[in-house]
Amino acid sequence: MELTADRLTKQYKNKIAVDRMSFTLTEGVTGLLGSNGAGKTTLMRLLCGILVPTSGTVTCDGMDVSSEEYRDILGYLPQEFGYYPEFTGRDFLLYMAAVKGLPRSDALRKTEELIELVGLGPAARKKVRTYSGGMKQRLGIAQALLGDPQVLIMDEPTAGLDPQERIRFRELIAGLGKNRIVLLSTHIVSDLEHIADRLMIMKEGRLIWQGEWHAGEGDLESFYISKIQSQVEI
Amino acid sequence: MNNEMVKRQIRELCQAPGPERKEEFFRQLKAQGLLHRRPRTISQGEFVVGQIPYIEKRIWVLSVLLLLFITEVCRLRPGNYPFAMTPFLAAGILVQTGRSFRWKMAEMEYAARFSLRSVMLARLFIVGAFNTLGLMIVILLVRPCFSYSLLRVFLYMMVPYLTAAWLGSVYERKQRADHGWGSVLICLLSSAVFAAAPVFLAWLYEERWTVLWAAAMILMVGGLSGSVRNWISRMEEPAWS
Amino acid sequence: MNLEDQYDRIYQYLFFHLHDRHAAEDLTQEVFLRFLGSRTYRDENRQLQYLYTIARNLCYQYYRDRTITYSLDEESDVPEINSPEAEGFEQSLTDRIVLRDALQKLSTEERELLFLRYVNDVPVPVISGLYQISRFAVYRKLKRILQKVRVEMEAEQDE
Repeated sequence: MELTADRLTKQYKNKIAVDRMSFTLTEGVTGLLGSNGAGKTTLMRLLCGILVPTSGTVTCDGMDVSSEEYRDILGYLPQEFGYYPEFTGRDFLLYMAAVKGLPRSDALRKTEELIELVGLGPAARKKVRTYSGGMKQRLGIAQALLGDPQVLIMDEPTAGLDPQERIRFRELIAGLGKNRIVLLSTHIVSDLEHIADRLMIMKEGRLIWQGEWHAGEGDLESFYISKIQSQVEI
Repeated sequence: MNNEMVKRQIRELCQAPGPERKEEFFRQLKAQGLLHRRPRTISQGEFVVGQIPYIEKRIWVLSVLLLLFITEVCRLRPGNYPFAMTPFLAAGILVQTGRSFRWKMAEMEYAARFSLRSVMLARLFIVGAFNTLGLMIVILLVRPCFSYSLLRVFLYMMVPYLTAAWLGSVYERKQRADHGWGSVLICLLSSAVFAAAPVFLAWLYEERWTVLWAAAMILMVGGLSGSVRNWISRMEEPAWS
Repeated sequence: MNLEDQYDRIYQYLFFHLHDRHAAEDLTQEVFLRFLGSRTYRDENRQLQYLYTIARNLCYQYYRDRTITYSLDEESDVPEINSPEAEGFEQSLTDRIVLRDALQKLSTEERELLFLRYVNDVPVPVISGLYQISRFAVYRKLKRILQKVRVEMEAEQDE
C-alpha cells in the first residue's frame, strides 16, 4: 500500500496552509510533527478527502481520496469531534459502524471488541456526556479502528489522555502499524519517540524534513528542535 | 467486412497464453480461508433503513402531534388559517439535516464510507417522506370540511410547507453550526405570512387564482431541489477551512 | 462473480499491457489479494469495476517503478504477430498483420477500450464507471473506434 501526495497545496484567501508537499507513506507508523498552526490538520484533512486541494493530488494505490473505495479502507480521528447528545459510548460506535457500511452482525461484534481494546468496558453503556476527556478520546480512537482500516490517520490522538492511557495507546499503535499505513500528528514529541518508523516535520505549511527514525538513535526532542531551528537560519 | 467480423478478429489477435499458476494460487487462497471470508458492505437501501433509529424521537412526536392538530383545527374551524401551520412540519426536516454540524460529527461522517452526503440525504429523505406522506393523508381527511376542490386544498397546504422548506434549506446551507434556531425562525415567519394572507390578501384564496398557487408550488419544488443539490455538491465546510 | 473466471481475464488484461507472462501473472495475483483483502460490494458490476481499477493502477505502478515512461504513443500493448501463442487461428498471417497495423494507428485508450469490451467482455456499465464517462459515451466511442479500424483495414486490403 502506498499513500502518495504530489505537490499538494491548499491555499486560503490570505494564507498557504499546505505548500507543495510531496511524500509517499507506506506500511508503518509515520509521525507528523509541527507546532500549532503549522498546517498539520489541513494536511490530514486533505489526506482524508475532506478538503479539496487547491492544486496537487493525493492517491492511495491509484485510488482517488474522494472515492468510496478509499473511504472504505480509511480510519480517521479528527482533532475535534462531538457526539449526538443521546448517545452512549456503544451507540456511538454502532452508529459510526453503520455509516461505515458494516453489516449489523459485524458491527455488534467489532464494537464489543473495540470497547475492550480501548479499555472502556462497562462505561460503554453510559452516556458519552458523562465521559472524561480521556475516555472520549479513547472512544474516538475506537471509532477510527472500526472496519479494520488499512490507512489510519489520527490528528492529535493523545490529546487528553493521561500518562497510563498514553502508554496503552502507544502499544496499540505499534501493533497496528505493522501492516497498515498509520499517520499520527502531534506536537508532543515524546509520544512518537518509541513508535514512529518515519517522521515528517512541518513548518508553516512546508515539509522541512522527512525520513526514517530509529528508536534509540539519540533524543528525538533535540533532533526536532535542531531541524526547526536550522530552518530559521536558512 | 462488418463490425462483427472485426470484433472476432480482434478477439483472436489478442488471445494471450493461459496463466500457469492459477490452480495453485486458488488452492492457497482456499487453504488460507481467504476466498469466502470477505466481509460485506451494506447496500444503499439498508443504509437508509439503518438511519431511521437515529432520527431524534421528538421529531416523530412533534410531526405526529402537528399533523393531528392541523386535522382537528381544519375540522372544527375550516377556514384559510389552518393552512399556515404546515411550515412547522418543515422545521423538523431542517433541524435533522443540520445535526451533524451542530454536534461536530460531520468530519467523522465525511471520512466514512457512506460519507456525510449520504447521511444528510438519508435524514432528509426519511423525515421528508414521513411528513409529506402524513400531510397527504391529512389533506384527504380534511378535504370534506372545505368548500374547495381537492386540488386547491392540496395547493394551499403544500405551498406554505414548501416555502418554509426552501427558505430554510438556503439558510441551513449557509449557517450549519447554529442550533437550528434560524430554521425554526424562518418557519415561524413563513407561517406568520401565510396566516396574515387570508386577512390582507383574501382574494388570493379565490378560485380564479388557483393557477398562481400552482405556479408557486412548481417554483418552490424547483427551488428546493436546486438548493438541496447545491447543498450536496458543495460539502466542503467553511468552518474546516 | 466467478473469481477463477475473472482471474483469466485480469491476467489477459495485464498481459495485453505488459507483454510479459511472468509479470502479468504476478500482478494478477496481487490484484486478487488486494481485492480479497477489501470489503466487497454486493453489486457485481461494482466488484468488477473495482478489480479492473486495481489492475490498472498496479499496471501504472509497474511501469513507474521500472522508470519506463509509459507515454500514450507507446505501442507495447499492440499484440505481437509472431508470438507462438498466436498459432492455430483461422485468420491468415496477412489478415493479422493488417489488423495489427490498423490497431497500431489507435491511441492506447482506444485499444484498451476495444480490448475490455470485445476481448474480455467487460459490461458497458463497468467500462463507463472505470473511465468516468457515461454509458452512452462508451457506446459512441466503441462504435467510432470500430469504424476507424474497419476503414483502415479495408484501405490496406485494397492496396
